[in-house]
Amino acid sequence: MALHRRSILKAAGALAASGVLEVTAPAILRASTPVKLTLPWLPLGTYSFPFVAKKLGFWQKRGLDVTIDRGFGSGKVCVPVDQGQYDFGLLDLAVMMNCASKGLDLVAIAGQWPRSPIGIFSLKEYNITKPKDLEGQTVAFDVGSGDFQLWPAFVKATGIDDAKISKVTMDAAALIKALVDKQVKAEGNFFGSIAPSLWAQGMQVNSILYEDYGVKMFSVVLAAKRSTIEKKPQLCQAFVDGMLEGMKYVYLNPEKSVELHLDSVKEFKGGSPANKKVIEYGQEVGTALGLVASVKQHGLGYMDPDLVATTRRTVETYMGAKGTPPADKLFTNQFIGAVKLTDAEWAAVVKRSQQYLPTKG
Amino acid sequence: MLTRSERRATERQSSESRPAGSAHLSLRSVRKAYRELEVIRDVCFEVREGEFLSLLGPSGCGKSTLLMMIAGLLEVSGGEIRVGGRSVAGPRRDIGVVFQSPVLLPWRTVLDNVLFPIEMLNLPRRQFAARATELLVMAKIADFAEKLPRELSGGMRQRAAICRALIHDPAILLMDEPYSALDAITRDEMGLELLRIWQIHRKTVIFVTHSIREAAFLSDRVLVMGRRPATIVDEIIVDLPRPRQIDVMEGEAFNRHVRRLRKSIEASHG
Amino acid sequence: MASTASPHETREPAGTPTALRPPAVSPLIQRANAIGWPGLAGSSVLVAWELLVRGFGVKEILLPPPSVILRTMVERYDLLLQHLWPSLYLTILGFVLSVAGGVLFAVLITYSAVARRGFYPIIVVSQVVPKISIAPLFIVWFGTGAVSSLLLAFLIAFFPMTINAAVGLQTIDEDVLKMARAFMGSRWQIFLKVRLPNAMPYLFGGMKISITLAIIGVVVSEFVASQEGIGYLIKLAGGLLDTPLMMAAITALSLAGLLLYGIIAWAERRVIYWQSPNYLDIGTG
Repeated sequence: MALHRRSILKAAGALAASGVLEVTAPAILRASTPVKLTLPWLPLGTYSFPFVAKKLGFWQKRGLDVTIDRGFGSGKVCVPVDQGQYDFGLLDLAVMMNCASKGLDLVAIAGQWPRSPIGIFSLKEYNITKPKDLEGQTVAFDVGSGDFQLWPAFVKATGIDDAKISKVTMDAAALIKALVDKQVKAEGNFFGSIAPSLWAQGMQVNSILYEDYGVKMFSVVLAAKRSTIEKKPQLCQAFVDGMLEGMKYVYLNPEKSVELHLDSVKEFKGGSPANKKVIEYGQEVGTALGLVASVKQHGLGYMDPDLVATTRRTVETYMGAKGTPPADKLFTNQFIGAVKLTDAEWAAVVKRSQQYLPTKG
Repeated sequence: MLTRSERRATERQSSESRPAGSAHLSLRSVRKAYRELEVIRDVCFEVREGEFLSLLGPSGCGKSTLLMMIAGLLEVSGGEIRVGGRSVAGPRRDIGVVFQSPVLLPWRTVLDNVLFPIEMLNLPRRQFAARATELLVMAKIADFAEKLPRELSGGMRQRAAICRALIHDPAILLMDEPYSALDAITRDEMGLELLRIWQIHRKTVIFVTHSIREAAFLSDRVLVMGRRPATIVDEIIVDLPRPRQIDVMEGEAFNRHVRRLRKSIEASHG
Repeated sequence: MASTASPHETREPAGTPTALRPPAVSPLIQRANAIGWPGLAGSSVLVAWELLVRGFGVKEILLPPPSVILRTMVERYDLLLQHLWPSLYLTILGFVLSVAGGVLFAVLITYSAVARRGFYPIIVVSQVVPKISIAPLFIVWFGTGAVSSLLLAFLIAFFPMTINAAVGLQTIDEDVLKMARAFMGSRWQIFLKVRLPNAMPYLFGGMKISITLAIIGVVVSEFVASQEGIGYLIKLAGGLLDTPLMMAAITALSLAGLLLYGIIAWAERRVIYWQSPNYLDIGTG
């Protein structure tokens, strides 16, 4: 008579296993693994790619059901990932290394920004263009942010007098507003977070980037617990692949990506045109910071071992992080290589995003 | 029409001389009403200097209200109360009050409590400290001068309250059922104590009570108050000799007075 | 004239036959009880914490053992004191202002019916609004310095103090007031010598609440934005992932708070010396 439920499921299962329904099968027929990712900060334009990846099903088709949470600064990503609250976290590599020196067993498995956007930023009108200009000023920080954690490194590298710089702690949410309202003249931040907001308001920003003064390092990476990598390598591979596919899409389809991003984050839905501009600028900044030769050669997400080693040196020397594990224990490119751009695509992206690189004023 | 503070100022400066021959305390057609409710109607009586007068009646008949009006704490709705020839318009220096509960200030020592009226009158404490001690000695609680009220029994606190009421040497002492909260035995003793003190400091005393025996034992004269709207329904002279001892209460003369008083009360209050 | 107390007028409060009174406890034992038991409980917790953290190998960045916290406090005491002092200073100042303001305001609404009707609803509403949510607003208006912290501390501590003081001034036996009036007390005298002493238990209750809230106000304001202070240090240490320092700062703050509270409790015992266990007893027989 009527088909038994079990036989229907069996048939469906067989179809699924055969790969015929690869792209179109509804998710319930696949055993979807829930995965949690945390961003280092708010879901700004610089982090469009995970939202794009999720929206376009790049993870879903690999059997992953990803939840993306906002973060509260790189410093506050380490512990939740270490404690298992999140499977993966995006955060600044130097901060991750600092945490590793304190016993948290994290490993970077994919790179996002080989160029570090961390620095001290101010409105153009104040003419603060060199580190020395900061002496006698008040600088605002959110203590959980990478720029604050690396401030000692910056101080050591530039030789400025830390005692002459008054530091104000502030909730990161208030930081950009404080700069716009001219409550503070300078603040630590990430170029990708601050520049888009100021540009959208028609303001110009002066950047003093840490890496220009010798604090060279790899910036944001995707990190996971070592035990996750060892015990669930397929999960890691699937996640990295999906994420990098998303990143590629963002590089090649900026306008569409902005739309997808706005659609994914409910706080942005129905936002003002200025909102959209902020996302757009941020996204392009993120793109610009990711384009280096080694990535072109080895594929998206590639982390140059030399740069990683330099980062580790920076952390150990300037931040006094004793007991930092050796560099090769802190990253792996094992999941990298599948996602690449053609030469033509690469040239087009580079050309388009040049204008979004930080200027020194 | 004097303001409250003006009245108080003149009060403090007033001497205690009175026109010779006039009654010490007199009430004329005194009336008290709360809105439409008349509680006291047409009370008239006079008290001589040094007389011990009781106001007797069951609870709620308005005798406390009447006492508060004499003390200047309540306004009369009609009629007049005169003390020492002057109309009562507010609290006065020549009046001392003892309430049903001792109402001592718990953060002050017994001595400081006794001296409280002196402070209120802005008089120098030093001047009266000796007198306070004397009063405490007389009340047999001198040992407790530096103690706090919580360390005294109810009866002792009431005695302290009496000392307080006497410290500023008022001419009239008003006592509002001061012993009703005490047990019967203590009550009898306190009565004796009161008479003993009264023999020494001869004040005019108006004593409010609902105890027939107490009224008869303590007073020279007893006024019986009727039911609401209250008025004086009977007056009995208690002509027993003084000083009176407890055994007076066994005598026929005493009990005759008691019977008479009881009949009056029953007649007016049913 | 020898004073012979009658058998009924004993030194104990009326109604307590000697045979039924609890045996007197020596002051030494009382002291030991007061300090010993809490001390024992506290030490047990600390020992357990130390052993468990070490036993399970919990990382310092997550939860340092008490020994590490203590060591940090000793090693970095100058940093701790440097930041503790401004916070304490602002706390005490905010507290003093809130007590003064609260009492004055309470007097106002006690003696003026107009003021009471006008202000009381405002006070009630203000109690409901979480003042901590106002902290960021204060930063915008008054900047990231001491003024914001002071104002927040004052604002949080002010209203509970007002309410306690008002209740204290108004909760008084009618008979006491009648007595004071009978003995010719003026309004001012009655306020100063009757209402105010009578209100002391409530005032001190209010002060204990206020000091606690003042600390919270200062620290929260420092959390939102600040340049110095123990809240600043706690955040800083957190940002540097230096959990031992963070907990050392928290411990220092707690000890300071305990100290301030203890000072008020001590003052309360000195000022309110007249209360017996049934302390509403004002001399009734």
